[in-house]
Amino acid sequence: MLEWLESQGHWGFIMAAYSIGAVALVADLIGQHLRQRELRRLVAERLARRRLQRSR
Amino acid sequence: MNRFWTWLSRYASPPVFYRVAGLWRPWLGWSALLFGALSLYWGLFHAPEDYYQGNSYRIIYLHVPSAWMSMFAYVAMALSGAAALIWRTKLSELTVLTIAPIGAGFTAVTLLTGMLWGRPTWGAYWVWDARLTSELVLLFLYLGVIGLASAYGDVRRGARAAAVLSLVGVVNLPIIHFSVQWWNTLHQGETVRLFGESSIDASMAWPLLGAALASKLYFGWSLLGRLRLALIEQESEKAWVHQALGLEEQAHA
Amino acid sequence: MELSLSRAFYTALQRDLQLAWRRRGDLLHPFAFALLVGTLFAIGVGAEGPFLATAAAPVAFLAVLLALFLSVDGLFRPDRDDGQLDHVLISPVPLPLHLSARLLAYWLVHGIGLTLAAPLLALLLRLQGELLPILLLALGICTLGMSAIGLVGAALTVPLRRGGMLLALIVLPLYVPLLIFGCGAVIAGTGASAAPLLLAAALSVFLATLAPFAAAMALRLGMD
Repeated sequence: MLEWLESQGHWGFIMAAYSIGAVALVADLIGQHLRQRELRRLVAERLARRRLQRSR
Repeated sequence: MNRFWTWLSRYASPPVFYRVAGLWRPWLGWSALLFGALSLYWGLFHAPEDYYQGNSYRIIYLHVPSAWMSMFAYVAMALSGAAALIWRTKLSELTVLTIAPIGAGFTAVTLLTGMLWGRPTWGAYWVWDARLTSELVLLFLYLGVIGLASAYGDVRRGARAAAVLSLVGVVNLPIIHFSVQWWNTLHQGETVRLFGESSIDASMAWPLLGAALASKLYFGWSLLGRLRLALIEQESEKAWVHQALGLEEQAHA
Repeated sequence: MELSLSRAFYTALQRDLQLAWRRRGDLLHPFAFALLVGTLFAIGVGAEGPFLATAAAPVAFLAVLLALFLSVDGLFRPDRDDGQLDHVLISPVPLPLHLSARLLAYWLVHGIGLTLAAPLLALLLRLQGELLPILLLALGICTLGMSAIGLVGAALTVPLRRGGMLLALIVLPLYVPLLIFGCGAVIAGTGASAAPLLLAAALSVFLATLAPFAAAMALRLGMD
């Protein structure tokens, strides 16, 4: 893989560098989104369980 | 002065901060995107080729801003650590915990892009250049802070321990930087200068400044977003969280 | 007031030194560890190679550094386990003062004690004879700074069940400047300027002055 990269010349290194940046950015975006969803689900579940206990 | 403190403590209260951060975030995110896209487009396709390095220097538009941000984030983490130790507000403690992974991310990106730049410039992926070496030590410092904070069972105690460590680290950071530079001159005669003695051309510098601004805005966007999530997690029992998540109506029904 | 503070300092120092004397056998393990690192390195590199000749000083330095690091975890842990640490935290003696006594005792016992392994290491690794005094001096100075960093690291990790790897991650990156100046002094040799040694000494004193305060802060956080 490295040999392929090195055969691409300068623009190969440039593109590799910027794709690392893009991957980091996307990972941050998706990570925050997924965590938001999971937290919302957890809080909602806890509230629902509590309401169920209260209604009994 | 007094009014300033009341103003500050009002913003440090989790529900107010959550709301205000939510208002700021779109502005930070979109302006980061705008500045980033413009300066990268200019830097990648319009700036002239470098006389010595050819095109490979174009990695600086990612490498240098993220290197600046890796240091900036450490100092910001230490400052919020100081605030956490002095005032013990939940928000400043969570800020320490939130900045650490972002800063580590910037450091990792700096190291990886530096390696990709090193191959065409020095002929090797890793050269024990002074700046790369201090960046590597910085990554270990970040990992230490993250590891220490997560080793404590209690989030707030972990955050305060991380705050002490980040303060110790920020005192040592200039010393590490200086010593590594000294070591570099001791062991290596000559390395390729990334920038020559002369200042770089304006058409290369403007996109760099733009990218640096974009990285600052992105840092703010990411920090506020992660802080909002951390506040939800920490205060998940509070009514304001249920309201903010839109779960309150169901609770009444 | 001043007299009682200095007396408190000496009492704490005396206690730590006496304790170390009573457990003097414990020092044997890091001492042997340092020699072991040197031995393993020589075996790995090959005893006849030219590499060993140039690497002798840094390897001896690193062996002592690692051995010292291994004993850092013991700075507070035994005291915490037998409740002595709580006693210190509520005593009227200012905590940083107590900790600087602890630091001084630790440096005298472990720092200087392990520095004494350097002549043996120099023998094993066949260090040039005229470099040995510089190595001893550099180690004597740098172990003070390393002990200071170790004091903070140990204070931060003492509430945790296991320090271990985490302690390494916290402490070892901060050793970098001391390693650079200490090894730099030995590599530069006898005729060179004393600048790296002076820098190491300044840094060690700086760290030893600030570390008790940072460690005190860390201990108080860990206990409340």
